[in-house]
Amino acid sequence: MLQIACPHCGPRDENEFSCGGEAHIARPKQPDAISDAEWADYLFMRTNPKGALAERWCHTVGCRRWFNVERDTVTHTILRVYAMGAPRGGGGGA
Amino acid sequence: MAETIPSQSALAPLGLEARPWPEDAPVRMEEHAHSGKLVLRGDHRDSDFMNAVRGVLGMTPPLVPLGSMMVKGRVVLWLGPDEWLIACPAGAETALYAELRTALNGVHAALVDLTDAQTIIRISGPRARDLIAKGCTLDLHPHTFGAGHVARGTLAHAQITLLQTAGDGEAGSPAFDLYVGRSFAQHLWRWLEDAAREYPGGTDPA
Amino acid sequence: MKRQRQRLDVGARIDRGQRLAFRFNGKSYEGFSGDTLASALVANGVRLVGRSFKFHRPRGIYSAGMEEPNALVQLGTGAASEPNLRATQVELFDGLEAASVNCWPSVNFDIWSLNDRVSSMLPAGFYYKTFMWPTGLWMRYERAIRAMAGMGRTAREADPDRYDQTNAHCDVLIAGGGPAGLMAALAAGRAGARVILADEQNEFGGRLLSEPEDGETIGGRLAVDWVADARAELAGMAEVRLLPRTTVFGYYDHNFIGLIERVTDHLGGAAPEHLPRQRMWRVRARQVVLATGAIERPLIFAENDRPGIMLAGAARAYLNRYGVQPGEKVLVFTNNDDAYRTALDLNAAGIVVPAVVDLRADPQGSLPARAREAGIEILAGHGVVGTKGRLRVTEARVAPVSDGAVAGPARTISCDAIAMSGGWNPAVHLFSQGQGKLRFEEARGVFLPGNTIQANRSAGACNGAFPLAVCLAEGTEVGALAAADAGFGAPVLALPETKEAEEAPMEVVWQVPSDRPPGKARAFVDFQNDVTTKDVKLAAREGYRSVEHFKRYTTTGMGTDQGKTSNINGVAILASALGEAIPAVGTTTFRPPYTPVSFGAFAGRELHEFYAPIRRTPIHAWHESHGAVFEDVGQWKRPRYYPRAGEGMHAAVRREAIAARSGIGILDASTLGKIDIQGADAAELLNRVYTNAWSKLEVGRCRYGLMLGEDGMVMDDGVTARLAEDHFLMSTTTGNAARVLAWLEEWTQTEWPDMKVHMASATEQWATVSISGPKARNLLAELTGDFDLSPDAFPFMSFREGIVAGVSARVFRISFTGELSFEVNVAARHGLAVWTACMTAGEKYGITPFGTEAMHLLRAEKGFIIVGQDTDGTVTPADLGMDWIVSKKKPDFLGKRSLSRADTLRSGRKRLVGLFTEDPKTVLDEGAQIVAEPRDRPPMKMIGHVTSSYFSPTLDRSIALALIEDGPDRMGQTLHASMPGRTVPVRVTEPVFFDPDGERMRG
Repeated sequence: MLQIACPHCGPRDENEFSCGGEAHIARPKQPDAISDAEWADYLFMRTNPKGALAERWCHTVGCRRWFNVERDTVTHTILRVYAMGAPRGGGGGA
Repeated sequence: MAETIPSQSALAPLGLEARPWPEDAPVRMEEHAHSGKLVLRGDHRDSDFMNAVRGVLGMTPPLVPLGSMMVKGRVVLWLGPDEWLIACPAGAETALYAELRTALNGVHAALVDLTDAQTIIRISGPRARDLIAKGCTLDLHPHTFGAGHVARGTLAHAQITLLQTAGDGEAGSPAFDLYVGRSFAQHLWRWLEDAAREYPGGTDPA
Repeated sequence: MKRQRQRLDVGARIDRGQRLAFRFNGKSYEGFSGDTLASALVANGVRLVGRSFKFHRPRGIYSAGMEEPNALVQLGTGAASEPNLRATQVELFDGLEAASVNCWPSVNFDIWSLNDRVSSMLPAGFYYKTFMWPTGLWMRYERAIRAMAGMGRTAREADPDRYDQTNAHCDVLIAGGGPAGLMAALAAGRAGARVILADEQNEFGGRLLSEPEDGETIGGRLAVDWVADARAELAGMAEVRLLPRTTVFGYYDHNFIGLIERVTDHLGGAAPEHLPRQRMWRVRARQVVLATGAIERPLIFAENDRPGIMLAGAARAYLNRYGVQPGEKVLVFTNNDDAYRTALDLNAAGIVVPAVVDLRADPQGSLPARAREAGIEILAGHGVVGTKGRLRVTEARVAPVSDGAVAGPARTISCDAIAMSGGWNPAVHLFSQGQGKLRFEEARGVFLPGNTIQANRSAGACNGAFPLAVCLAEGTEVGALAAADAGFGAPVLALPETKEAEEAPMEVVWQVPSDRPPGKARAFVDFQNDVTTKDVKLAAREGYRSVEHFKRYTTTGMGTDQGKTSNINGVAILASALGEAIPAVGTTTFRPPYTPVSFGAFAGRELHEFYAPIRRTPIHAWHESHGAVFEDVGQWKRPRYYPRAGEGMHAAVRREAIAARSGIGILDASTLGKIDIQGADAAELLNRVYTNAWSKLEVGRCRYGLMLGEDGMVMDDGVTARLAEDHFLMSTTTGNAARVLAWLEEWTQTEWPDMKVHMASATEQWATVSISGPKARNLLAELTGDFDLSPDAFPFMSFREGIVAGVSARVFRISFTGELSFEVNVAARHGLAVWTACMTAGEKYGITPFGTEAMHLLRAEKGFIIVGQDTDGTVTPADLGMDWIVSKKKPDFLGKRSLSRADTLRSGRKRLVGLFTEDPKTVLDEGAQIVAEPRDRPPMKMIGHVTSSYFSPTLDRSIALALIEDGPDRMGQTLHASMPGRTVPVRVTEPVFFDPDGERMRG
């Protein structure tokens, strides 16, 4: 059971949250203007790294806010928690 | 309004009045039904929103996470950075709703009357914390949580909003208002009653 | 039998004033308060306590703790009976009843011990090799093998005991209450940190409890007195929680720790009714201190498994802690100094120690010196190379050994017990569970804690620090550091002085040589699973190089003891057979639980009615009192049908459905999800999440919407009403309410943060009473005078607000049954009253409550889909024939782009159709597979499946909905549905069976 520091509510158990998968996958602005392959890339393709992964999480049973988490997929160490919309590398942290 | 039909609380089907808790029980529980509950959402950086809310409530809604504020018999609970629960005396919600609606006219905000969507289970007594801990992972230790603190979480797999209404010092033991969805209330009450069997003096839900 | 003939008259930590009667294998015995079942058995001279798992060899008590591989017992009888408990950990109580496991008909004569006679035919992997073929028969073999193997019996009745669970948080959790753990707790506790100190034993003190009273001192006090002082100080600290009888069994991510507290196990029948039997603690600790001690390592020698052969530390524990003689003539066998303590204590208690057999050529430490002074013979450079005795050891054969070989003739030493020690293995299990990496130390042959990513520290014996002074120092240091890291700095604690004997280095010996032919004398590595050195070497020869494979192949460490005494020896012998270094072979991964935990404790309170939350509508009590049969829909209980006396489900559903089509049916629809949506962009949000257009919906009107995932597949549907220009109320399917709200929040927060819109769940605010049928309008008219119900004034797909049955209501004119329907929404507190009012006023119309089963039937007659029943996440609107609801004009909505992907456009997709069976009475099974040609040889192509199937009383025939490849192109074709034992011919038809133009619901 991971412990995730909600940016608003503080550290809480993982089962208070839901994971929204990999972060920083923007929805194409004009879906009709892109190819099937590009759309499929947006829909289905994820990096699935061994190591640091940026994910979106939502504090479902708490403040219901979404935010980003950078997590090591091997050790489950949480490297960074940052706001929705903030860039992955920015604001310090791994 | 021709509201002639009696109101039924969420826990009424359990017939709790037939099973009072002993005065000296290490934990006591009671249903606090029908108090008004409005959920307010809006952007606290929007001065129009804040002014409108302040004008009606006579206070700034709590901006510090997990806080609450009590003014004029109303408690405003922080639920999220743009979300508050306003609890008011039973029956006062309709007028308060109308007043807020009017004040918020033209302002980006949302207001929903959820008076019947939840009920409150009031838990008090020296073992209140221990009882809640059996089904809830929130840390309620006095170092981290005290009177006026609010947290949403789960208890016995039901979503709850927990407000501590009294600290250890004041009433001799802590007290909590546990807001729970109406449909979960009977499950939660029975679960708590079962969990409280460990504390002699508690009722035995035979 | 003389009572407790092995019991000493004085000393030890038992209360001779409190006699406890107990039964073991049907015989009556007596022990004292403070005993374990094992110590009481030793006191009564019971040597033979069990049989081994595979060969059913007689086995005796081997240890004094949780590492016990042999003394497994079935405790209690009847429903509360529990198998495979370690007698060494079972605290004795009055009236205890226990029996050996693994033996039939009795422990003294075990018929399966015949396995032992043919053991040369039962090598490692025997079962894998022998019973693999023919594969179909394995199930039959397995049953017989399992019966033979035994391992206790689970009770057939439900466990009558209650189990509690609780959650806790602390600054410092300390696992183990020996000297290091106690010091850590004192250091952290004095700093003000919130501390939990857990120890699996009934009292704190760890190994100090097993040392002689006049042995070591701490701070000038006897060690046990120092323990009592420390305990008392800790008990007085408000922020320290002491948990004796509590095993830290699991170390999970982010310092999430599982503890199992045995609350009343030790009380037997005297346990107070209000207390749970056990309590599972789920602890989140800022910092963890591991002070879990060490487990003595057995010496592996020929014929090492006879009853009476035990660990040297255990012999000392029986003597000093429990006041019992482990034997009358106890040979000590060692490769280290610590076992000399056992020899000295036994000797001091008047027990004959014929010799200390020491594998080291020249033991010169202070402890051997004291043994010499005491007149104990030391056979240096010797080893035990064989033993004799069937149900107990009677003699040892001792020979000089050097360089791993027998170096001289053996002599025989008579004894009735052998106390042996191969050194101590740090208990690194929890450290390893918590993803810590182990490192190997050659000098003592031990795995020690290495790097860890978790916030923990090890102290004392589990960290390789065996001397008492070092244990105390490490405990103090890590306790203070842990508290400081948790935010509680404190002055450094002064260390108490200790008095203890110094130890000289040990000599690592993994396997004692034997003069017996290799095939004749077995040396057991894993006692519980009967793995011998020969098995380990065979596995190496057969190519098992990975320690994880080796473990599973030989079953080393796979018993209920998880190899506490066998893993390291097994790995070392494997490494030697492979010619590799031990760290290169590595050790197996330690996984929770550290020791077995009852299923009941994991289940906790989540049984029966508390298994999962039950959600009830405001009208639930009425349904119950009117005999409703409920079904689970998500967490909700919904009435499925309301049988009358003598009525089965089909008759009830038929009656309910006919009432809704001909008079009035009434349904509790309170479970449907309701989401309140407000804001200037509310209509725009609906445009983006639904396939159809919403901007032009008038206030007061409703519209049906279909929601897609980004993959274009149908995700939810429902009716949404426009309450005001910027205010909508969306309804969702019962099971999807939370998911849809989360979906809307996700998009507005992550992708469209500038939209001016807010959502809230309003499901439980309302009770929804749905009245449906040709007379619905008449009934509603009687209950409200507030609004005009005429079709022109209150058209289909609109809503009105007013008083119904005396309370404020919002009435939606929408229909899921295909009949004239009104959904009356009132505040939840009035739900029951309004329902009752409808029932009373509707009596003259024959108002009939109907459940979900009739509702499903009625909507299926209309061809209305249920998301999740007629769809399964692979179905597009076009597949459902619902293109009409997909806007061609909107530039974008969620899932739109996917509807033009090649895969969603291709032919051959499964699409919704209706099916008529040739025989109108045959009702297809939901889920039945459809084939075009039933005479094909399997595997034949399955072209679809039935999603909904009912007998329709209105049509007086069965109807079904199905998803079939290119279904709409197959209208009129005959296909075949597979049903148990037969195939049923079906004709493909339109999926709307009744009132296709919707005149009834619009009327």
